[in-house]
Amino acid sequence: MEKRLFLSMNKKYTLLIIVGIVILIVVPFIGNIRINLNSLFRHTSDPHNFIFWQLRLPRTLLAFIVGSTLAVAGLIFQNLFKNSLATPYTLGVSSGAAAGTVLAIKLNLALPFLGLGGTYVYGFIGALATIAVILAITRIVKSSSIYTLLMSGVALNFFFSSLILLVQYLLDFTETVSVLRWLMGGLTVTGYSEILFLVPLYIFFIVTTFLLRHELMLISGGDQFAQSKGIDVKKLRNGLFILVSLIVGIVVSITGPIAFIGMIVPHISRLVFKEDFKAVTFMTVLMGGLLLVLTDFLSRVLIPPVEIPVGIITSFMGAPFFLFILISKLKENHA
Amino acid sequence: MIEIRDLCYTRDKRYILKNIDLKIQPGDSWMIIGPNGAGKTTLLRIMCGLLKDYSGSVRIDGKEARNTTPKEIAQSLSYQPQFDEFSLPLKVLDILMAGRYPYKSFFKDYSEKDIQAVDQIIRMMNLEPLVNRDINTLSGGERKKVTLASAFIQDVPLILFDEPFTFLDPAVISGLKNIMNSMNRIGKTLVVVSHDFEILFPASTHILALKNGQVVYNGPRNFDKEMLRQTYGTHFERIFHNGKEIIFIDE
Repeated sequence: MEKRLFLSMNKKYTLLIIVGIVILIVVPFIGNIRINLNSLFRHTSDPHNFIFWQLRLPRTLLAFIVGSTLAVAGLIFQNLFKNSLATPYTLGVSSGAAAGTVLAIKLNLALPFLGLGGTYVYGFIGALATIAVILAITRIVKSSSIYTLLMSGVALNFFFSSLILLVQYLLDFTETVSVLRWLMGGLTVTGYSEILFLVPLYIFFIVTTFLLRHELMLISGGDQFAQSKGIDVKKLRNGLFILVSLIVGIVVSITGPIAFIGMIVPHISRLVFKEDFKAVTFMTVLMGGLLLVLTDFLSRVLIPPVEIPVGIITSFMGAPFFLFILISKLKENHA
Repeated sequence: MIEIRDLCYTRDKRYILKNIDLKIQPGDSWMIIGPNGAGKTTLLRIMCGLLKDYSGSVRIDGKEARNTTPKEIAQSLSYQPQFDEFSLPLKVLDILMAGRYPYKSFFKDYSEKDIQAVDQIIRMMNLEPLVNRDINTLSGGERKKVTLASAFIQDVPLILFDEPFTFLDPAVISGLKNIMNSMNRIGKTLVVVSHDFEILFPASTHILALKNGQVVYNGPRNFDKEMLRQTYGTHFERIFHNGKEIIFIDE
């Protein structure tokens, strides 16, 4: 029985990996301009060559890394708070990062010597500050219940949205359009600097998540349960908060906030792989990346030559999908 | 095993526990009784290292509780919380394997020895049909059995229970009680916080009665009507039926 279960699991993995590779190879070729195969090996001054190697390929890779990161960050938050509604997006961490980044841009707080203009430092600070406020609240009321956390997140979300609007309204209108565009979430890049910057962080993040899979799994069974099995819940939670705000802060400063990936991907992974947490984690890593690659692909090809900001599409697809899951879950619970 | 001296615990300048002394010896079976809000759960949570801002001394196997790591504590005792918070899918087998977590080093996976230890308890407690299921799909009684098995797998001498019988039907309660009794017979030390006086009193060796955070009685079990009346404000009676001790409220 164990053996057959293992085999079928292996088949699901293999299928997913093959589908993933096919998607990653095919997607950069298709778009407003169709790339033909032999242009790939021509000189870099060839427009097709440039579009493929400098625009579409880095964009696809960025989409994969970002989607995968957001999905895993969502999975971690869901397990820490035992609730599929708790993600960096819903707790205000993403909007904290966005507010930090917008302030940095508008007040010229960039730190160019740190690469990528350094705005990500402020994204990280914004994300971390959000978490610090949430933790301070839980300390004051001496409760870290889901209710406390989610409600703090709602309040912080409102606060940061207003802060962004205020800064937008008061200061220099010249960049308002580009900031607005960034706030809608997008993956447009030229070349590989963002990707080279993200890859080591991404690998560190994913490896850490896999190393902590036992702890993450047990903490989803409740803090007291996890602690009674010897897990230092406080330490684990604080460490993961810092790690997630670092990675989410950086990602948001590059792409803008992209909603729902962190909520939906772990949810579907759990629907497919149920209680097998290792498989759920693996699926979340892969599917998070692929889903954003495909969504970004849609954003390029739906109404050419217009590119719809990818954040708008994830919200459009994500919100009804999430409601559907929520309703079916509630119905099941009350049946 | 556990030695408590002059323990006080305050919250918002109000005493939750005041001047508690308690000594739990290996093989004991303690029942902690007292009305709601007497501080029973707080005491239990201090004993298992979940609350560290107490004053006085709480020693677990000779070591002060506030200075121990969760991992050290998990090798000495297991805590069974009143409510489990399972809401995300979690496999029963993983919960059982968690009993071996205190012995696992961070970078290694569970060893063959760990798997065998878990397997043995699964057989002993007839959990085979449940192991591949999601904990959320189990009944309340099955869940309790699984978390109990997980504590058993943890292989610790001391198990603390907080209200183990809430929301369970009589047949399940009786089954759980039998498991707990046999645990005590093979040498496990039990500490049970419970209102189910009638069920647990006869099987206990010691009683700690709390009221308003203070000790009413602390010592070997004996049926002391006056002590019980002082604790609960109700009159208890005892009869013997077929050699079994039956305790009930006599109004």
